[in-house]
Amino acid sequence: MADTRTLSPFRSWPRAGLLALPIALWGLVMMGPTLSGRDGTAKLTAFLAETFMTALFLLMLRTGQTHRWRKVFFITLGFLFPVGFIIELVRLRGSMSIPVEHLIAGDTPFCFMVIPMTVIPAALNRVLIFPGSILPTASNPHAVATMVSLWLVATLVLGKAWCAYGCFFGGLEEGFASIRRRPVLKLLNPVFLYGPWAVLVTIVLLSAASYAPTYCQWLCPFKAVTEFPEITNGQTLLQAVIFVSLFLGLVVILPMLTKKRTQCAFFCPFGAFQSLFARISPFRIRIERSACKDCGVCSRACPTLALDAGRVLQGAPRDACMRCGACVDACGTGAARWHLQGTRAPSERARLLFLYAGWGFACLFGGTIIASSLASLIHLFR
Amino acid sequence: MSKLKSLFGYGAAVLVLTVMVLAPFVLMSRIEQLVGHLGLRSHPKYSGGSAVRVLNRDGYQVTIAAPAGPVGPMEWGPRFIQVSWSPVGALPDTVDEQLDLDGGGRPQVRLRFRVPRDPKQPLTGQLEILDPGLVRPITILRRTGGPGLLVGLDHSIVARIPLN
Repeated sequence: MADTRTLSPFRSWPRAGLLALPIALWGLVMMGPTLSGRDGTAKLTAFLAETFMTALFLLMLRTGQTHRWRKVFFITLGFLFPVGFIIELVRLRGSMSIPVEHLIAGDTPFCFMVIPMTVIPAALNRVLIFPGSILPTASNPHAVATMVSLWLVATLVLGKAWCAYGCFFGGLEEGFASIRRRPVLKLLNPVFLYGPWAVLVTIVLLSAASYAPTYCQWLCPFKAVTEFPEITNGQTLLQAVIFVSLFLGLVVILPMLTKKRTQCAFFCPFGAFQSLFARISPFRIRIERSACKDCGVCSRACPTLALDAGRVLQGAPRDACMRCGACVDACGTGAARWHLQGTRAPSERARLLFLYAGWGFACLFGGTIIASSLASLIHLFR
Repeated sequence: MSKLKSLFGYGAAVLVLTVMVLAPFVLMSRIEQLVGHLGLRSHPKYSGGSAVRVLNRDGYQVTIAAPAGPVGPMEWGPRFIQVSWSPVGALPDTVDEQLDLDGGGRPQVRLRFRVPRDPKQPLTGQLEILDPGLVRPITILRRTGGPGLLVGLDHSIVARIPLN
């Protein structure tokens, strides 16, 4: 089997530039409303975000590496999203906590993490167990219907790849996982991989019984960097302590020690939920057995432990594979390949088709978040 | 057979790209509308329940909602009736209202509170029980720290009166 990286047909700058043109145009369209607006800072940050996204895409095509450049975008998104979000919260409310007034007024932005918990109460009683408005309002543009439509599109376009091209929370972990050069903790018990499923089943059942978003109330590590209920009594204090502890443990410390996305691999119920839709996408990662030397590089590179020796033998990762491309980048023999289901398309073509969809979504969602968060940050210091 | 599979593969890729391109222009707004038509409503513990009576006062309105409380099989929490006054700008300096919460023709509570001109000022309401059957015997409604609730929103003042 030939090394796909040395035979990549997109390596020349002109060819890579030509192939990156659709993404550059798409980014311009996505940033269009901001670029044609009156806010000079917003225009500048939209332009920067557009250039950033196009440049990374171009480098993906030029170098043949996906994960390396995707990671730059993803970490930027992961760190800028909470910064922009917190700045906006403090500007609107004066703090990161959700005051009781906002709970009553339905002004809490809807988070995609809530979706699995809302399904049963919504189906049985048409009751939404979240303090947000159903349709967007002036005070809450991130309404339930808006975020559900975004999730549905992300699921149809990306499937499980949402976790590598959309989820801003994953970017934080990836950032902390990238700090050390080598892992300190190497032996991770694969039984922990059932963790997200256990959390998912537990919170769905508990939410169906209690009609409350259990995960958001008690278990979400990212409450520590977004918003949480106002601390008014012992219960809300305990919740805040849990949020901060889970964040420090699963999102900061463990990723630093293991160089893995531990929260995603061992805890995140939304990741497990997205795994249910992993096979919707026709884009896969395959291990070509004839080219594989069983060196284990791909397994070590996988941030969510979707690949191990057994899976390499089977020729495909677990459904937890988020198409980040780390294994393909790391593989020295070209055995780890991008694959378009049902075809014998060359790896590079399958990858290109996937990247148009994946990076298109990244521009639509993450690119605009990067632009608006940067604008909020600049406004803060002006 | 392999050609057919290949055709399906490329077809699926084209479909994914089509969804991607249509998403921000057509698809997302259509899905949003569809979700809006599902008839979902916010849990009454957040929304306060649906309005059952609107009382017109001098320049402002008093809206009384249906009794709200736990909906889920293992849900617990107090039942309450939400009453709201709007618009805030038209309210008198002090609201003093006898409220017929169940629509039976006789008021069950009398609620008094001063309307703060500064929306950030805390609200406290005095509750007097006129008919002890329906309402929990409390005397104070405030923003936090008790079973009753009185808060100021952007355009209204909302009271939640706990039920027995």
